[in-house]
Amino acid sequence: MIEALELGRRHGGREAVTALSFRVAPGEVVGLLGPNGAGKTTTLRMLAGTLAPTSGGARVGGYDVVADARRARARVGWLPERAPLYPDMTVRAQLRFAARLRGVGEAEVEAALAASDLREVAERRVGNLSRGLGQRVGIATATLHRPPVVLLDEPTAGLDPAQRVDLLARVRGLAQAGAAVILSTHVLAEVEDADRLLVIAGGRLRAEGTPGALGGGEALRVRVARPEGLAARLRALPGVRGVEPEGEAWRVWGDGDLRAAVARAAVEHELLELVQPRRLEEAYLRLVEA
Amino acid sequence: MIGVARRELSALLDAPLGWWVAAGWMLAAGLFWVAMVDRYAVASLDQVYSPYAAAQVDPMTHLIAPWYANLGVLLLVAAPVVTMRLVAEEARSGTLELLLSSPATAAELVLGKLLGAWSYLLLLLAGVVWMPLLLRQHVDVDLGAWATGAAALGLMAGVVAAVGLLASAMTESPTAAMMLSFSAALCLWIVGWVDPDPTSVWTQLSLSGHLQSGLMGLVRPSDVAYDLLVIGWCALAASVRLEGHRDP
Repeated sequence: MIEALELGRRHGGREAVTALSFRVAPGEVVGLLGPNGAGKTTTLRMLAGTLAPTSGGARVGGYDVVADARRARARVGWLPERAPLYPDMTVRAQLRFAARLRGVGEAEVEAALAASDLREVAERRVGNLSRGLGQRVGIATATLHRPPVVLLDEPTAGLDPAQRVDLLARVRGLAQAGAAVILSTHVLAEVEDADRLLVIAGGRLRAEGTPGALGGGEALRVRVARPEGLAARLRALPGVRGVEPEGEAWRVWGDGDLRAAVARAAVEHELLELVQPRRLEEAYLRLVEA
Repeated sequence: MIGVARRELSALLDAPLGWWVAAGWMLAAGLFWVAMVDRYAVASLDQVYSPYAAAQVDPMTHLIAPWYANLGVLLLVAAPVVTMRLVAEEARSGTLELLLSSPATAAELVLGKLLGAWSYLLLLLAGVVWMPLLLRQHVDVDLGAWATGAAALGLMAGVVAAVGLLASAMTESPTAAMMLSFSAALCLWIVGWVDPDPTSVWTQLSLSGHLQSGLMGLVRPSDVAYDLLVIGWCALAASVRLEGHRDP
């Protein structure tokens, strides 16, 4: 669990983050969206315990990041944008060092190597790995102590599409294992699968909600004359990942092109309107420019 | 703390830099030793017909202690190279985030780094301080004085490691840290030259002033206290500085 309450940080007279409040539940992946300089990294560093807040506070894994800093840090897995890797170390040595820092043993190192598919490169120097493998080592380093809170700052930067898909799948796996995950990015496509999004700009929280609610992905807006039973029917459609009410209509989002399937289902409920009102990019731009 | 110390020691032993420093150290210490043994042998031969004078050419006073003093000067040069990366490189490369996000306190991280660098310098010392024992076949070497001198150098290694650690915590540039560390250690070494009076403040602040008795085999609590105070103060200041990364 992550709880931020009026969290703030001043840098040399400038408010980098102002009164940020949000919660992330265990098992949830929350995308932290914002333009460069929005305060994403500052927010994550405060939650990770590597930067002290100047106002407000936060609790991670049940512990206050200031009053109980040591215990709080023990419950966080933190991967900064620039993965903290020692190029002179082998992958195994890097994980062993992180394990010693975290007070966990060799079993966790081996488990992390296996879980991250790093056994084959365990004896290679970190400095000789590709960017994608390096990020996997970074995630393994950050999570080998199985933290209940995982914070990832633009982990896909510089990765090719295949590596990006692989890494995002691993992030989803962390949440499925029960971790509360915050994934910071400014690539909107990467957070369309997130459970919720936090949009920050100018250090302030501009919006919070599901990708669908924020106008995400290929969301469709469907309005019918007889809405009874429509939501359940839509949810049962292949590829549909979410259905939620929006005024008198329903917002539907999921994988691939859902228009035909949604239209067929909606016709039986006397379809009045089926539109694709806006994409996440548009909603995001509107929010950060507001 | 032990994990950090092991990391620092292995980083030095795994990297070419550590071996270059060790090679330079062994070469310089060996050259000093050969030259000084040669001079000592000549001085001893000069006194061969004067039993009274010959007894005055004590190996501890005329050979081992001066050689130890030269090792002290070599430590002033070696320590900044060894310690320059301790914190500065971590800050520059971003790996400091891994340390700062761990449950370890800044004090534990600093002590781990200090122990790692100090251990390496002790290994360098261990590689050469046995040399005087080779003379035991020919002259009477006072083992107590020899061991006390080596221990004094070991403590001095802690002092210069701590000064280097603090310098490394002050900047993100390892080169700047090296220069700062060398300058600070050199100032500590020569500050006693301002006023050679043993009771003057300058001598009391001097690293070389507090080394002399130990090199001669004398244990003075004030010398040990000086070394421990400098180590402790530098470690504390480095710890505050490291904690400052969390609250800049």
